[in-house]
Amino acid sequence: MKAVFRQCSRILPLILILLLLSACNMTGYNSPWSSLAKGGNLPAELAIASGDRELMLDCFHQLFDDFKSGGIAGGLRAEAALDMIDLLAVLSDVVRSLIPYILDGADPTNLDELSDFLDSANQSFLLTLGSEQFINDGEAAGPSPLQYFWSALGLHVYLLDQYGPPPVGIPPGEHQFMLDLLDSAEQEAADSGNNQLEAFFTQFESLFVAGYFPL
Amino acid sequence: MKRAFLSAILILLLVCPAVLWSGERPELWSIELEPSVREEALGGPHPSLADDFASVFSNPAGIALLDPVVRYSSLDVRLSGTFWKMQNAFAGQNPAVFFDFDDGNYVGLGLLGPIDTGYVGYGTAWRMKVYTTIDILYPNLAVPAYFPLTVGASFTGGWGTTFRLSGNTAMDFGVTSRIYNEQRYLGKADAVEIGSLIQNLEELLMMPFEVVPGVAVDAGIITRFGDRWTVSLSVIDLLSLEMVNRYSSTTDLLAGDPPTFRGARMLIPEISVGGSWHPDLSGVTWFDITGVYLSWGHLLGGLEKFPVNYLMGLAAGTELLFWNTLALRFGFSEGLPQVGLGVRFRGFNLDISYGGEELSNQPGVFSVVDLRLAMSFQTRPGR
Repeated sequence: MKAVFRQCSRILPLILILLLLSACNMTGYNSPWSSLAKGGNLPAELAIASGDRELMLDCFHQLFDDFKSGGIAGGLRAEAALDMIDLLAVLSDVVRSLIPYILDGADPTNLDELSDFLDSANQSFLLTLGSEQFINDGEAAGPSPLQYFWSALGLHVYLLDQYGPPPVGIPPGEHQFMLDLLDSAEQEAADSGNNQLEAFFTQFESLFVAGYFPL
Repeated sequence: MKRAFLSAILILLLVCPAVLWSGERPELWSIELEPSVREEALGGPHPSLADDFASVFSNPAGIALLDPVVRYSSLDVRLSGTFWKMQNAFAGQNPAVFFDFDDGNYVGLGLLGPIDTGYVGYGTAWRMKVYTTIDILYPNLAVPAYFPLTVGASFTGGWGTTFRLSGNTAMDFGVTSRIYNEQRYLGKADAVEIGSLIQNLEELLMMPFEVVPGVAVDAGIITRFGDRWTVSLSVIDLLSLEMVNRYSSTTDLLAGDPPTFRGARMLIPEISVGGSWHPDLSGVTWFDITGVYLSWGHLLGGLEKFPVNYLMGLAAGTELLFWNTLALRFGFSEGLPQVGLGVRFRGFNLDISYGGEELSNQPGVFSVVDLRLAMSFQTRPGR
């Protein structure tokens, strides 16, 4: 029995250290670990799944830097654009108020959460991204209906910031691009048999055409 | 001197091709059924842990020493998810909430066997197995969810030998070659599409599908200093080649249409180094400590598309054995603890493991809980 205790006592310090490290992670005190990690290299899906806004922002800024510097190219560029749209969709609390409109086909005339896309300096994230043509690249990757929606919303904010309330001042080409985007999204919703989403895009388009922008 | 030179050459042969590698690993958002339940409970596939039928395939060096064993069949079931997320137990969240839509969620199921058969002995080994996994990753209501399904089969053959270095120091070396084929259904849909899928289940057949056959070579070394200490190295996917056949939809595959993409890829090798200590309890009949294992794995994780934090590779574990029948296991890997239980009775083995897994590339970002239960039937010829 003495031999058993002697040998067990030798491994006790190792067990205590590992228990301490485990407890740190399990209780969420993992900042020492995370600070050593390359935060920006987290996959966007898992940054979102973690629910940690700081990690999501790190991930977003890394993607944006890569995007701007040309560090990523081709299909990866479009993929990064879509990841950025996803991160913005979650980072801006606008998703909470918009989901009922998408899923239940509720009247979207009360949309008033677009300001969530603005940062503390009242600068639109999407304005910057829009100027980098990311919406075009994102669109080229063949987004899903929901991503179409975020692209449309992003372009909407971009156009507002850039040209003021429509239809005044919006170049015809961009106005047409917006309409084409909404048409494509509407068509995709119709093809997938989602009548509610199709109706939503129709409403959104009619608001756009009518010049109603509830920012 | 000559033997030290031999050791250095072997290590260089294993590490050099791996370091020069520029391959990639596919992102599947799933937890694999490797290593075995016993290894899992001990903190993962330590390179120094190669003393049973399953673990010699994690470090082929074990093939050189393992007494003959025939495995007839095995069944390994995995259930993992965020519904028992470890952090939640301390954050005041209700663990009874099965799937909270406000947070990112994950649930996964895996089955290895019942075709899991093979032989190890006299420096040779082979194993044949089939496996199935399904995982559902739901990051947030605003973005797409992933639900990949993988069905695979593999055949592995291996060889191992021992080199006597000097005095009571010896080096075991082993190599295995694997042939495998995986079929992967790559489901992905956002909240809107899922609503549509539920109404039109045939749309599930519109998701992309991959057929991936491949070959790979694994190798390893264990250097033993007497009966108490070992230092080891293992390289999984030392050389590999996968053929990827991607179909835009499962319907295309079923219709016999050619793949939309066909290409070859090589995987980044998984290099691990480690050591073990085996306490001297020779005078005790009812109790033994099989070993204390410490390792650092995935050393080339920094080369991956999403570089893996090196702290993720730190692992440790120990196994306490009572009356040579009941085993209690404790482990640590990816920043999370593992525990396990094993019962051996004649040819029947029962193993249970319960612990944390990290789905992301950083500790503590998206940790999930993994529960595994395995039963196997094997005999030791000549006993």
